[in-house]
Amino acid sequence: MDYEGNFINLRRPLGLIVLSIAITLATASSSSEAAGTASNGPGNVNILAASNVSSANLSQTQRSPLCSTSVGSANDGPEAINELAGMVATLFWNNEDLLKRSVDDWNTPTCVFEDGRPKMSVFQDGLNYAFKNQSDWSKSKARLEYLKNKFPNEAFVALAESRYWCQYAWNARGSGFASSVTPEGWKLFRERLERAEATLINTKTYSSQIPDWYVEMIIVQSALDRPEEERDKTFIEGTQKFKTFYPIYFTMLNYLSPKWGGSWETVDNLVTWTVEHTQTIEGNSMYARLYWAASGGLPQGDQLFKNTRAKWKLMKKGFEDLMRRHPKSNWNLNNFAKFACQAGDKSTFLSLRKQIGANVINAAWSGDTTLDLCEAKYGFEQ
Amino acid sequence: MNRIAACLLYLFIGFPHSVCAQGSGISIDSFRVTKITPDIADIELFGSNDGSMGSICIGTIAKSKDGYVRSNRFPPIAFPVGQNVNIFSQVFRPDGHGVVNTDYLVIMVYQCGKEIFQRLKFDWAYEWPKKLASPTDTDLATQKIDFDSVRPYMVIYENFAEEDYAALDLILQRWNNPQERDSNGEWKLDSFRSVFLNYSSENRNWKADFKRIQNWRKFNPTSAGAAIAEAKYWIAYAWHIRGCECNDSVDPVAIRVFGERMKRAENILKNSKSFASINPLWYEAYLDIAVSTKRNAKFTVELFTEGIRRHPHFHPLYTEMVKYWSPKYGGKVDWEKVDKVVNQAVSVTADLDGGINYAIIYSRLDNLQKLEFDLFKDSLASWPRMKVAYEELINRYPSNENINEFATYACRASDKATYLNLRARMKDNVVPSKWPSNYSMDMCDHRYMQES
Repeated sequence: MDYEGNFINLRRPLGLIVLSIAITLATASSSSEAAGTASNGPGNVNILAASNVSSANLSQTQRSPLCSTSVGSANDGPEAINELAGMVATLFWNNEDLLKRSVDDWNTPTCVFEDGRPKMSVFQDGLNYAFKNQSDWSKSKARLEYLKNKFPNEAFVALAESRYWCQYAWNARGSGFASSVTPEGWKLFRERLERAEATLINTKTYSSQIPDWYVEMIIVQSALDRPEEERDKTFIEGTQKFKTFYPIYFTMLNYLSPKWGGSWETVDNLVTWTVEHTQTIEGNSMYARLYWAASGGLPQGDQLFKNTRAKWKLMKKGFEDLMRRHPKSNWNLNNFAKFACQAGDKSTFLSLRKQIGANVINAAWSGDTTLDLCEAKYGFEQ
Repeated sequence: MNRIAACLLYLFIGFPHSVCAQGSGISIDSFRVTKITPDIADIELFGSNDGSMGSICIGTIAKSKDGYVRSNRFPPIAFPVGQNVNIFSQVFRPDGHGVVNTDYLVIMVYQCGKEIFQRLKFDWAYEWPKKLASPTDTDLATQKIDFDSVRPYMVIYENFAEEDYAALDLILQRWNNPQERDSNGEWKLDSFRSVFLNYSSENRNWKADFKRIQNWRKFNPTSAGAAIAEAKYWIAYAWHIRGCECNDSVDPVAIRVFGERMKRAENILKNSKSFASINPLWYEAYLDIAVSTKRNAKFTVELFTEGIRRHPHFHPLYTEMVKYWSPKYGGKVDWEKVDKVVNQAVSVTADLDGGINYAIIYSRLDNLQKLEFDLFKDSLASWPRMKVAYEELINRYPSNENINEFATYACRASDKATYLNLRARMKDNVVPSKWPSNYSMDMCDHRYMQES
């Protein structure tokens, strides 16, 4: 459904064009735990609904992005992320004061969705949409200049500027493998990432008060091939300062994976370190969250329990901790069941499937592990 | 009583239409037209909402009996909770400036900000009078382009969602004609595939779609569209369980069910051949099965040959055959056979299409390959021929999509002069979806415009 001004336009496809199949299959799906966090290239969160929201009036009169007021809004899984990201995009273009208030409001570890993910993690997704839906990059740049004048030395503006340069860099590079990138694409990619890096460095004193600074910096340092020690320092500093801001871990994991020249052994070390680092707050749930994130970035055809070092026994324990902490989250529950199916744990799958009942979240079951397949495989019948 | 007289009567006496629709704690019991201008009809609806569905919005459109003419947008209106509430809604006239007739009022009900879950149809015949063009008109209205020429899949999609099977059958008959093209030169009929082939679970309610298709088949047991839609449904459902073709370690259960569903699709086609193969989509669907299940060449070529003998101008048949000879994953690619099929398509369709199918089929083939695939280096496609074909294509169908697509190939073929010429012609009419991510307009502009 589209909003154009205040009108719903029936001319646009409702996600039913064949192209959308290709997009869904070619990119990491939104079922990823990390969807939208390491969103500097392929694997961005699929925000079909949110991308279409362009009316500030609608979102402001019907819903509030603030943490304490989520009446009438989705508060779990991709629906919640998409809705809030759409609002960020809208506010970026139409209501910078409310955007500033929202970002300030989200900047606390207790401001989370039902599934436990920090609402602040949506800020980056929302900015991606704000820029992506505007094909004329100069308009985005002009908007940023306006914001910089209006709010000098404001963290959310600096991070928006850095996101702009990152998005613009990936626009030149393209989302394919390195072999598909043109020489001009590489040149522009580097130049623009350097602009993002300079923005982050020059504004660090105030912009690193928002955890997204560390996410952005890890992305930029990785993509620019900065020395690993520098990136590690960023990661350690970020996770000390914002212990439960998951996107910092997800982003680091992404760049340690084989896709970016790393290895599953290094990823496993990161997971072990993180579980220990967050144990007092998160129990073992970070094991589940991190390998869940890793599964979203696997090459097509690879399987989590076959191609990585993930262990179902530990993952299950992690999910049990996750469900204890966030018992109302259907999103977490659906994904728990999906991984049980992938791991071949029939009894856990069937028990979780029973718990899910009619609360199936389709987005959790995309890719090669469809609910259709799991039910056929384990003989589940309603 | 003619349409205008009937509506004027309703307008003046405020006669409520005593029809009732129920469902999901929501009912629209009646409506009346309160005011009409050439652009908008103000409608007062009477109904109830028990509040059990959360925040509900409605939108109202007008549509014709044949499913062709419809308002293409509506203002979202909040549906208050309560018994016998009245809601003030508006209906926009369909695009175009001439007189247009609509026969129904369709009320779309949805949770605010989400997908429509219910469509309620009421009889309301109205003749929208001629209107003068205004500077605020959209391009479509100004250029008087038909809705179906720009987005034919929406005509299919909306009528399917409304379960208007009579309209769907009429539309498919009407579009089974080589002259019925969209603004890009594609067969309007081909848009049928985009509605029924989607196999992404996030976007599809399999049970509801199947029920609708079954209802269509019951409504008209010899409907070509219904049979082909059911076959397409099973093909999509087969791929849904199998997952990406790139995955070569598929679960054995998925492989088994994939085969069963493909077989089911094939049986539906076989059993409907006598009445459905008059529509080229029947052959396209069968070729899709042959390609998907990697049937032997003899069977596939014979099927293709029969298809193009009966439907020589339906270019998607050639695209399917080209797909067969250039598998993206697994299997042997034969570029000579691909080129032969493309040339065959051009020669067979030349009487109607000139040489445009060289561009259309090679660009479709390119879209099916991996991003790093280079059409002019990795296949036998020739840029000089492609250029001539695109020139003819944009001459016949000067859509922004075609001009953008032509420009992307000029960029990839390093044809600076053609690129700059097309960029000047494009101005701000950028169609981002036409640009591959590694050849964005941004990158191509840097390559060619900064040198100038």
